Amino acid sequence: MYKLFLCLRYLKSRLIAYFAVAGVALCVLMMVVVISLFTGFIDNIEKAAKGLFGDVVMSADNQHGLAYYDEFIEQVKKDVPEVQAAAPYILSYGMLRISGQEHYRNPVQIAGVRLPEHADVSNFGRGLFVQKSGDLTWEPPLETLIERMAEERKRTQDIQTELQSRKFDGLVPPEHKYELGRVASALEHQDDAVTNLRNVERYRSELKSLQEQLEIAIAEGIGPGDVDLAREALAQAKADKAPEDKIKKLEAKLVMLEDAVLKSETLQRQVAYYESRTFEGPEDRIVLGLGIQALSYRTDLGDVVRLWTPGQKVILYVFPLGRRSLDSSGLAPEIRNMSVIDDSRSGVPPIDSAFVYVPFETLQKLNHMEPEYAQDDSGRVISPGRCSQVIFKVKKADPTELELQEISKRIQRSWLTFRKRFPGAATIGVTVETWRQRQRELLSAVEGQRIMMVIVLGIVSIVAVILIFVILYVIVMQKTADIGVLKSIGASSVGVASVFLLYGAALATVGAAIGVVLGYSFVRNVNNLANWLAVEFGFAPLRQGFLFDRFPDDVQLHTVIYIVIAAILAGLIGALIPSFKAARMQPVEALRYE
Amino acid sequence: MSRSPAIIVQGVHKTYKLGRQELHVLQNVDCQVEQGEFVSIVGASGSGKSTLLHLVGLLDRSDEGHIALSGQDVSELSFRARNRIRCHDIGFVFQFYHLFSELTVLGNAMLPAMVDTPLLQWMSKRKHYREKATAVLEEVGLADRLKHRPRELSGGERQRVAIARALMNEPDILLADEPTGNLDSKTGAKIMKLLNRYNEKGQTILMVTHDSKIAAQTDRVMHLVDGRMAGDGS
Repeated sequence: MYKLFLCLRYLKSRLIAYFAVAGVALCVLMMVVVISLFTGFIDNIEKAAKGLFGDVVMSADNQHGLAYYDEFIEQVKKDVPEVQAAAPYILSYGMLRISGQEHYRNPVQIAGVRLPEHADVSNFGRGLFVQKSGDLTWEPPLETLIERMAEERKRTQDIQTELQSRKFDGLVPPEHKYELGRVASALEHQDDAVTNLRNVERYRSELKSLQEQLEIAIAEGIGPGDVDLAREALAQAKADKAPEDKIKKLEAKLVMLEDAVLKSETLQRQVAYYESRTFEGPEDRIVLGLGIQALSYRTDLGDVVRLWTPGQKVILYVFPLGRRSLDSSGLAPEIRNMSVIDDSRSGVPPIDSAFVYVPFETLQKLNHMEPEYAQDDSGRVISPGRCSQVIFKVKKADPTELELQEISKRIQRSWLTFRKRFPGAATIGVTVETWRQRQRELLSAVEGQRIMMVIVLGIVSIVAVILIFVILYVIVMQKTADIGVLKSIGASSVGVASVFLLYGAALATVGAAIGVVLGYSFVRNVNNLANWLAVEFGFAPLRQGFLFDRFPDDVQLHTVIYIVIAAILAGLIGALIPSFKAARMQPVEALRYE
Repeated sequence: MSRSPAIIVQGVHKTYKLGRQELHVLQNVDCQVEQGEFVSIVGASGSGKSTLLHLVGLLDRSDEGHIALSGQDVSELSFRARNRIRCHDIGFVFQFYHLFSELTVLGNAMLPAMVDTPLLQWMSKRKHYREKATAVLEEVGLADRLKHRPRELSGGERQRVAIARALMNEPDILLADEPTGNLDSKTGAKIMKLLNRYNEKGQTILMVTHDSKIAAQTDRVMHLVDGRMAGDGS
């Protein structure tokens, strides 16, 4: 009984114990914070990496690509029933420019994807800005675009208001002025985009009503080409010297028709003008990666500001890597005006800062991979369309790497039999890889970070052990006489040792409890803290990349349990030597100690 | 009396090694304390009187010779058995009190009972021990000091707490190592009075002192000179 009793009394009434508790609390606080933030970051990166290219990817070993992909997908679905969905994919390289901004050019990787199929095999749909839900399409409804842009404009205005409300002692720092300028320019671009979109909507509806008027007129007996007919009828009537009132009637009809046609033509021209400013045809649509330089940026509070938004246009240069690039036409770029209809965030910075997405068939053409037909009227395919990769998604929700490797092998086997049927499907081999194998560079970097974290935390644990050891050693020295007394009243050596072991564990437990509470509060409020630092001191750790808007602020229960167990173990280990020393003390020596 | 003597010391030797030098602290010491006797050992500083007390109290082992407590030879007992005897049969009072500063007066007095009782049994026996400790503390005149910490007490009061602690487990033998050595003569006298009162009730007491006036208040005085028994008188 005396062990627990003494241990609790020592805990309560010794100042040095508070230092030990504070030390353990700090170590635990640091562990909770580092592990929670770090595993949060790593998990996010892994999740993002996993969502990028489905579960398994088959790629052609050269730029010539894979043909008969739709037929192959059908066969794989039969051969490997675990595969839930598959989609072809083209990867090419190019450059982005913006009309009217002579100096802007940015190299990009261009992905040709089919919608909505691409969203079935990857997380593409989850990172989109405009098309948050529903079936993805390259032609999102105009209303959705306008609605989302209006929301975005309001959000940007809020950011501007917040920036304007900041107070400075003395001179306004130049970087703040720069920020204000940037956000104002973003608002201008967004206004432009919204105006364009609204105009398209207005002119489209006017065009529609006019077309209706025209249709009504047609229904009333005026057909296409009626203007000519009416003109002829009028000429005929005049030649026939028809009665005055009939000629007048015909003249009025002609004027009405001419007006209607003129109006409709004007409207069509206006619609075309605005569409040309905002919307290219459905094949010339583009989704920008949210992170491409100068098209968006991140504020010191971690908010994304979009400078170039849906509703605007870009010029895309594609360097065609397909079959014709090898002949005389060489690598001259294909240039297209593209309408931005959305932006995408995968969560993997190297992807988001480099990728743009265009319709699969469009890139097939621009990359010289489209099907070629015979020049005669037979419509015979001379050369089939090609893609760079086929992306597969398996049915199981969280497949292990081993399961995926097994599926990869079966897809590879399926390909070998497929090639016997379609010898022209690929010019050389293909590689089938799981998402982990494909992202090994990114993941090994992440793994390296994880090892670093383990090393750092190992050092922290050793510090905790040494701290407890030193403090308990001092306490044992101070308590030498007490140990003598305890032995003189019959306490065993084991009993005396357990007083100090228990004491070490108790110090660690109390410290761990305090550390967990502090660490939990810190992690849960880390985003508020980061914002406060950014606003008050201009320290903005979030601006370094487009990785995440927010710090991960989840504290996992099992992490806390591991840390608390580790802390208590550290307490026990630290207490081991002092306890042993206390147990070994001769009572006579101990009593003599003053 | 047919009962065996409380303490028998026979031919005890104790040597300490100080580097290469051997220090013969006790040489061939014989002595005996009867049940209910109050005996003092008097000697100059370094005469070996405290060492003798520690040997009798099983805090140390002799190099040669035998010690018997209440007829049982304790020289060759195991650690566990010696712990048990220290807990049940021996009470210690030290010159410097050696109280636990973190505990109250009551807590200090209850400590031997705690050492004797496992955690689970303590729950049921706590009240009993509390009452017993309170009673002992009342006997030594500290009824109004139960909740105080040692640092809030005077020297005499602290020694009373130490005596209460020593008597908590009702030991056969009370060993006192200069119990008045750190007190003024008036307070020392009071402590001696208290010890005498317990002796009158039948408590065997062996006390070490260098003060012959204090020793004179006991039943019998033994003299230790340079580690040897020099004389034995009443």
